[in-house]
This record gives sequence, C-alpha cells and structure tokens, in this order.
Amino acid sequence: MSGADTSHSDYVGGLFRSHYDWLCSRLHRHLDSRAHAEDIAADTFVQLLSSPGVVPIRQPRALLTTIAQRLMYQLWRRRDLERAYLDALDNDETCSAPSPEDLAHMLEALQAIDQLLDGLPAKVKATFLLSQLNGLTYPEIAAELGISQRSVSDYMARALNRCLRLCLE
Amino acid sequence: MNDALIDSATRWYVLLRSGEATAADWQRYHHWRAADPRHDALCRQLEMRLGVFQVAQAQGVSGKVLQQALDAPSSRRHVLQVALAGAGVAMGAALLSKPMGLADLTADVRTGTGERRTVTLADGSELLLNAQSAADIQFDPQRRLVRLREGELLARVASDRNRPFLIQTEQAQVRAYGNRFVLRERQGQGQVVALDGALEIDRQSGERLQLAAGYEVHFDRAGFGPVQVSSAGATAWIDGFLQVRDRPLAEVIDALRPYHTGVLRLDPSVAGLRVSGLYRLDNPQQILDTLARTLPIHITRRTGLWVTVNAA
Repeated sequence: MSGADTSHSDYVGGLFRSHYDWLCSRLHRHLDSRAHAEDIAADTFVQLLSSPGVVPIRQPRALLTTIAQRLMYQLWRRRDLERAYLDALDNDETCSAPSPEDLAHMLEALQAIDQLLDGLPAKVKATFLLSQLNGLTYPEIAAELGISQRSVSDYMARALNRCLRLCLE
Repeated sequence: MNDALIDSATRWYVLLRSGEATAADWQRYHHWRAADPRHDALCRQLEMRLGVFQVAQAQGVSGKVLQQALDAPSSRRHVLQVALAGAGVAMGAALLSKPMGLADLTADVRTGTGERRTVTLADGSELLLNAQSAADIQFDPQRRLVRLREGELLARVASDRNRPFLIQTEQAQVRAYGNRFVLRERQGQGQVVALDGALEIDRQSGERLQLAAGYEVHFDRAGFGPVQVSSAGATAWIDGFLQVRDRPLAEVIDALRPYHTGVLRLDPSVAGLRVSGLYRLDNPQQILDTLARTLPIHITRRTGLWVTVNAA
C-alpha cells in the first residue's frame, strides 16, 4: 500500500518538474498576480497527489488544466461571494462589522453553503435558509416570501432532496 | 433503493421542519431512523452536511443576508461547466481529442480589486481591463465580439476588413471603425471615449449615435448624455492615475471602488463636494486621506474593510 503511494508521489513529482512552470505561465494569463498563479498551480498538484486514481495520465497538461480551472473557478467564486456578502451586511442595519477572524470563517462557510445549494432556484434557497437559519415555520416563511405554504413545502423538499443526494455521492 | 431512501428522508425532514410536527410525529421519525442502519447513517450525514450553517448561526447572520450573498452573479459558471463537463468519466475522449489550453476553454478574462491587465486576442487586438472588470471573448468567422460584463476596458483594435469588432455591454453595443477606444459600464452607468477613429454606439432601445475621434459620451437607461470633447481624466486610469477637474466627490469615490477591497460608503451630504487633482490609483487609502485633508470630510475605518466618508 505504502509502495503504491510512493510511486504515485514520485509520478506526480515528475509531472511537477515537467509541467509546473508551464502551468504557472498559463495561469498567469488569467490571474494578474504571479503569486496567485503559483498558488493555484501548487494546489493543482496537491489535488493530483490526493487522487491516486488518475494514474497513468496520457495527456497530463489537459488534466492539469482541468484541475487548475476548477480551482480558479473556486477562487473567483469566493471573490464574488465575499463582495456580495460584504454588500449584504452593509445593507442590513441589524448587522455590525464582523472581526477579520469571524469574516474569514464566514467566507469559508459561505463557500461550502454555496456548493451545497448550487443550482437550486433563488426562491428555493431563500425558503431553505429561512428555515435553516432563522428557524421559521412554513406559515412564517410563506408570509415572509409572499408564497403559498404548499410552495414552501415543495421548496423545502427540493432543497433537502439535494442535500440528501450529496450525502450519498 | 437510494431514491426510495432519499424520498422517505426528505418527507420526514419536510414534516419535522414545518412547525406543525407533533410529539407523535417525532416519535415515528425516531422509530424510522432506528429501523434501518442506512436510515440512521443518512440522517447523520445530513446533520454533518448542514453543520456548515453553524458558523452563520453563531455569528447571527440571517437567512436574508446569506441569500443575498449567494445571489452573487457568477459570470464564470457557464464557461466552466462546459469546460468541466468531461472531467469525470469522459476525460479521455472529448477533452483530450485536441490540445487545449486555458485560453481555449475559458475565453473570458477578469480582473480583481486593484488589478489592471492587458490581454492579447487571437486577431492581435489588445484589451486593457481596469480593476474589477470582466469580459468574454466570442470571435467567429463573421465578427469579433467582446462582451463587457462589468467594468471598464481600453480596446486597441487590429484591423480586419472582413470582421467587424464589436463590444457588447448590458445596455449598448459599440462598433469600432478606428483602433482605440475606452468603454465603461458599471451599475447601469456607461461611458464611451473615442480615442482614434469613429465609433458607432447602439443602445438597447434602438437609439444610435456616431462618435467621432476625440469625443466622449455618457449613457444610462434613459439615453445618451451630451457628446463632449474627451478629457484626459477619462483615460488616466490606463496609466494608473485618477485625474479629475472640478468633479463631484461621488464620481471620485466611484472611480476608487474597483481599487478598494471591502465596502466604501459615501454620505450623500458630501457627495456633491467638488474635487480636483491627480492621484495614484494604486493606493486608494492614501487618496482618501489626501481628500480628507483638503475637504470638509471625515474618514471612518472599521477593520479596514468598512470605510465610510462622512461630513467632518
């Protein structure tokens, strides 16, 4: 078992030596800062290292590109979420400015929640969040969102169904 | 089997969260959960998944605030979904059939806070994106189309008699006859500056305007503003400067926003103060401090992310 792991890390190490610089310069075209490009390139190899199923790779650059892209997407989405979250807090009189630590925790959680509810329509998300975070009952949610109680149950079912499905993946 | 399991679990949770579940309902739920180890395992996994909400609960973040944050538009999503479609099982065939670089898969480009960047397009044209800007590039044999999703860019257009060069924003489409122009659209407010050669601007409403070189025009949902001789200020950002002459403070703050990380809030009572000067964009905090020395305003900073500009 450990022998297989060593050969995998050797293999990824070899890929790193041959393709790391290429990936960095590739990424640099899309990310203004060299440091960001290097971070993402390094993360790409870390991901490859933690997924032993991919060996052998016939076209390593294509696979590296795919992984790097997913990481870039996450970085961008994180920025989008951060900006939108700060705006939302700013518009809400009941919220005060969080400490930098709280903010960092929250942004991490926000990204996880974003992935959890990804693809659900806005009304479904709104319904689920009012139930999950504010603990509202269905009649209260229906009144808050101006929808029928029937819709609230349907939306809850959709959201829960998605979360449950992710549990079994 | 899994479908049936998920369906029953869904039904239970929908009932338990309604606010109308009775003690008997809870008892029957516990009974169901204990009846099969798979039921219990699934419930545990769900509880773990929903653990991500604990941070928000601990910080007293409401569902509404979270909802607004999650509504953040994701211009990348579509492109990346296409790109990742083959990442799992089909990795071998479709994606690897031709050599692909990032440029092929994600044609669009974006800059973050405080970043400016030049991109060279396939035809040799160049786009310089100002901070917090995003554009998609959609070239085909008939036309060269750039979609400016947000922000501001300088275009240097390579000549190609057969393919017009078009930039599309939410509200307008600009067709380039010359080779250099600046286009901006943020929050419904647009501006075009023709530097070299004429431009043709079509608004969504069907209104059309010809803009000669050396002129600029603003537009918004209501229509075009007056055509004016272009000022050096409109293009100063290209060199990393903010140049204003007798402009309202609100305009200066708006120009700083793409360079400021966090929230920058302006008290409406000072928004109309007139400002003149030349500032380096790369240090927005310093610009604010300079403004505070010369104007009757006060800058309040909370955690560096919240900056409020008030009357002194």
